[in-house]
Amino acid sequence: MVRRRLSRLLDPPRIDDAAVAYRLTALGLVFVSVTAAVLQQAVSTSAAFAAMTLVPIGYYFSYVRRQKRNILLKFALAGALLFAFASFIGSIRYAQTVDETRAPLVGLFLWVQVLHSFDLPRARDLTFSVAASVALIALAGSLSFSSGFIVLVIVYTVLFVGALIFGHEAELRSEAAGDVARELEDGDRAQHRKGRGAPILRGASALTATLVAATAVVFIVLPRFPGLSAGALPFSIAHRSSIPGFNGNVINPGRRGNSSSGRAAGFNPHAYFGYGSDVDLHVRGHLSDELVMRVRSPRPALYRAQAYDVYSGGRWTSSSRVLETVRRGGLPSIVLPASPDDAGGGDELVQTFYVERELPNLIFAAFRPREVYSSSTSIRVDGFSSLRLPYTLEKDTIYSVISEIPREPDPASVPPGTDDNLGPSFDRYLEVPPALAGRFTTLARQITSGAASPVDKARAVQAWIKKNKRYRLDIPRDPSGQDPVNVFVFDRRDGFCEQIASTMALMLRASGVPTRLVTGFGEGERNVFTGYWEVRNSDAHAWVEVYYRGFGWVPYDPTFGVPQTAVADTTFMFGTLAKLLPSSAFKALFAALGRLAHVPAWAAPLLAIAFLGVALLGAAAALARRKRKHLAPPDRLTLAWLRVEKDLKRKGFVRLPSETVLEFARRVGDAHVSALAADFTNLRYGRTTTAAEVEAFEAALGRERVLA
Amino acid sequence: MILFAVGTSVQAGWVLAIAALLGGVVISGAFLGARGLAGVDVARTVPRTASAGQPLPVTLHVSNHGVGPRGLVLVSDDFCGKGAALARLVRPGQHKQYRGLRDHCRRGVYDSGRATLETGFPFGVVRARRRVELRSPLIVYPITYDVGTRPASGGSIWRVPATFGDVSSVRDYHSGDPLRHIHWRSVARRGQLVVREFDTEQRAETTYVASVPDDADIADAIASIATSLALGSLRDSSEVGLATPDGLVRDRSPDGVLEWGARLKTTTTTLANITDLPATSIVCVCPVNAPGLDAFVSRFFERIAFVVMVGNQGGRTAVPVASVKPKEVEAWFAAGCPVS
Repeated sequence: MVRRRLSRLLDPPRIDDAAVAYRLTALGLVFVSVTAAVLQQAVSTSAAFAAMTLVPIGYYFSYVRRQKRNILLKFALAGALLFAFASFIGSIRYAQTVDETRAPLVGLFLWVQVLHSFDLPRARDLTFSVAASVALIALAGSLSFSSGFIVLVIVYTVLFVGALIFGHEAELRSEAAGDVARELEDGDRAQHRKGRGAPILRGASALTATLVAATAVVFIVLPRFPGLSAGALPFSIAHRSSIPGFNGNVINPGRRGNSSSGRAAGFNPHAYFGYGSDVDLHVRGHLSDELVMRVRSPRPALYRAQAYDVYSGGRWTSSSRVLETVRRGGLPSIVLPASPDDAGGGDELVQTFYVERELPNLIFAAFRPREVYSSSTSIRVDGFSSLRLPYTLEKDTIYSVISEIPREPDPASVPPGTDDNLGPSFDRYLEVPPALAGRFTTLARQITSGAASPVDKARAVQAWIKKNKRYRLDIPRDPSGQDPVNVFVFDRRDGFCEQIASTMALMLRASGVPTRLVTGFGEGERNVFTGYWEVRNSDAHAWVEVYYRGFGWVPYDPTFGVPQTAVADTTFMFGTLAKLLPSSAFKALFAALGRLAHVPAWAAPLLAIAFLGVALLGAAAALARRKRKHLAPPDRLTLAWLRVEKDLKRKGFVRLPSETVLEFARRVGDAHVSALAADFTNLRYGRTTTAAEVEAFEAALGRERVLA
Repeated sequence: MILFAVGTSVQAGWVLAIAALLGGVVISGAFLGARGLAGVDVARTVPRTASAGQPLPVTLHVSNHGVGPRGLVLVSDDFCGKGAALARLVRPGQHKQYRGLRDHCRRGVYDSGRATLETGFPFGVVRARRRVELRSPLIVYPITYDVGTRPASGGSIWRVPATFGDVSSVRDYHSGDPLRHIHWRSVARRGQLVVREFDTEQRAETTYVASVPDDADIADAIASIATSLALGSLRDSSEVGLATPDGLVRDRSPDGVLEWGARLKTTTTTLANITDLPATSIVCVCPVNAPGLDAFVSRFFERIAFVVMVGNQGGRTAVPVASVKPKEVEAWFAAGCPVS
């Protein structure tokens, strides 16, 4: 028995499994997946070239020798596979991050493909090749930053669909086990009536439409759960441009100096003026749309760079002069000391930044950064928890930050009234320049007069700004000698983010709530395919941090009406897709879904199921309607009459099985029902009934209520 | 699911896109696969008769009455052996035919057989399956062998029958007389219609008695032997009777004999139930230890030419294990019908 089994294992019954189409499509899949890996630089070009040369040879070899036993070859391939696996283990032995294992994994899959290609005697063996190609392209996809990857995905999808179809055919052929009958040439000629190509085209279109629709629905409703917090996060440095004599200053490579004259002379569209020693509210202009960084983050956040606490003459500056140096020590990351102002806690957010263009020597990260994974062994931290590197960020620099994002506290839990008892260190956060001491302060106090707690005051000011001000970049220069904030509050409706944020910060200060101005980058746009947040130069932004005693600093973005940093556990693609939709109705629907889609983790599956349910019900209803339209006239008539009977049943009249329609109508005793029954009988049992007559009957039923 | 977990873990949208593609394949494959047989009909045509052991040409007809094309429809058909047809693509209104040979055609009378339609088109994710009973009347004759010598007579009454008997005289033609009996020479001589008169024919008739057991192989072997012997007698222009414990069949055509062989089946009655056989000679083909054989032999002892018993012996199945010749029948019967 054992001998027979062993013999069967080594020499299985051979079936001539040519399956040429399946082999070719599987080979195409392997080629596309290898190409994807090469384009993502996951494998070296030489390795890819070797693979692309060996795989077709392997496929041809397998095809030619598919009827042979190939025992020695199998042993050789098994040995080579073990060697490849050992090599993979060797490569990842010193990997510190999950990301670092991806490239060796791609290499392993590549060589598995090559080796496996020499042992594909039967069509079903190709299943592994197809599965391995899925893994390979998925790995390449996980490394891709670009939307251009869609070209590869489309080509891959076409081949994948072909491989599945041919694979299924091969599977059915193998189930038939060689007993497949030969097709005769002399089938009837019915196909020539409608033309040969049209039904095929229709079928292929239906298949494509169904596949695309199903994929789109799955992609849309697929919840984006927060990523797993890996033990070690990726970082690297491409070109290290060390700053000579670095003393903690911010070096902004594109900044052209400061302007206090109110002229926009210092504005450089390629570099944000808010990174450096000050933020000048006189400077204005459109920033370019260059991509500055890609951020891998499970949810949107404001990536903070610097904070300013002193406002005077239209300029924000920082009073923090002392910088603390924090070193990595023996740890994989730089752990930042807790700020005495902050109570700690909040929602953890893991972000990895992929720098695409030269940026200042600042670490952009969601507030409050807790741990930094960077190639630098030390960083400088100022009194506002802003982080500075001893080199500017160059293209291809990668760093990761774990932040704890504070939540807006419950208003009742924050002590009410002014914060005079905060201590002298907070005086600077409450200072309002004399230029704003008059009507500005009065207005601010008026706005916050009804607010019981500092949180309510912040909300009141934000609501006032949202109601009375609009965001706009194209605004004229401020009149000479006037404070830009005063001009914005009293003379203009439109302003840019620095003005809006300054207004909120200073109004709250006037109401006794400590604030500071913060600059950095907004969340950017999430690329629906790569999953990365694409942050552009024009996303440079200013917002406010408000201090609540006992809780610490909480960010507010008054420009876009964001009360506090969004803390959604799970997101969907609805919001992103809303921006792409042309129709305003659909846009509104998707925008509403997008707002709903920032949901906690427990609600995500429910929302996904609900959306899927609605989509399926809609599709089923549309299909039923379509089917009804294609019914024969007598069947449509019967359906229409059954609706009449249903209506009458609600009124207590039920047709007996033995009753004809006319008898039933007579029993109901209503002239209208009798007329309908007569019409129905004439049409249903008449000689001919046209579709127009049926439609007229249906329309009559739709217009009139039975037994109204 | 794995890709979704990985995509979520590394927050890579392309991985989620590929996971969505796989999900889309599953959903669309399930949706399309579930209705892949809508409007698909299948029929089977076979010749009216066939011989056991000979390849049987079977044609499967696959037609599509649905609105869209149907692909990869596998028709598995176990009628007279395993067979299948794979319709790669059937357009709306199209009818395709697939012809194959079945090699395991057993003796018998068939009216219909079950076939299974199956498809998972396009992706094989979900398979739609439908079983149908396809009508295809077929009579499969038993395997026959050329029997070189006719059965020897068990008694003294065996002789070769004349085709028309011996002419004894002629007489005037009466209405209803067969025209072939007209004696033309006498007609020419007399100028009126004259027909030949025959002696009463003394015809020898051999009746083949077959009793089949439940064992299909032995039953087929019995049918083959009985049919081959009967056909041999027919070739010798003998009168042939065909009997089973259920009754007697008189059919002098080879097709009739073959059909009798095809229709032989197990019955509740035994050889002992046969009480009357109007034959001059009897040949019995039955299984070893057939019930009622001793009573049968006792009853028709005088007319039995020989008895062939079929059974399993020496590792071979369904072979004649005993053939009792006329002169030996008496001794064999006296010994209690033993099987050597």
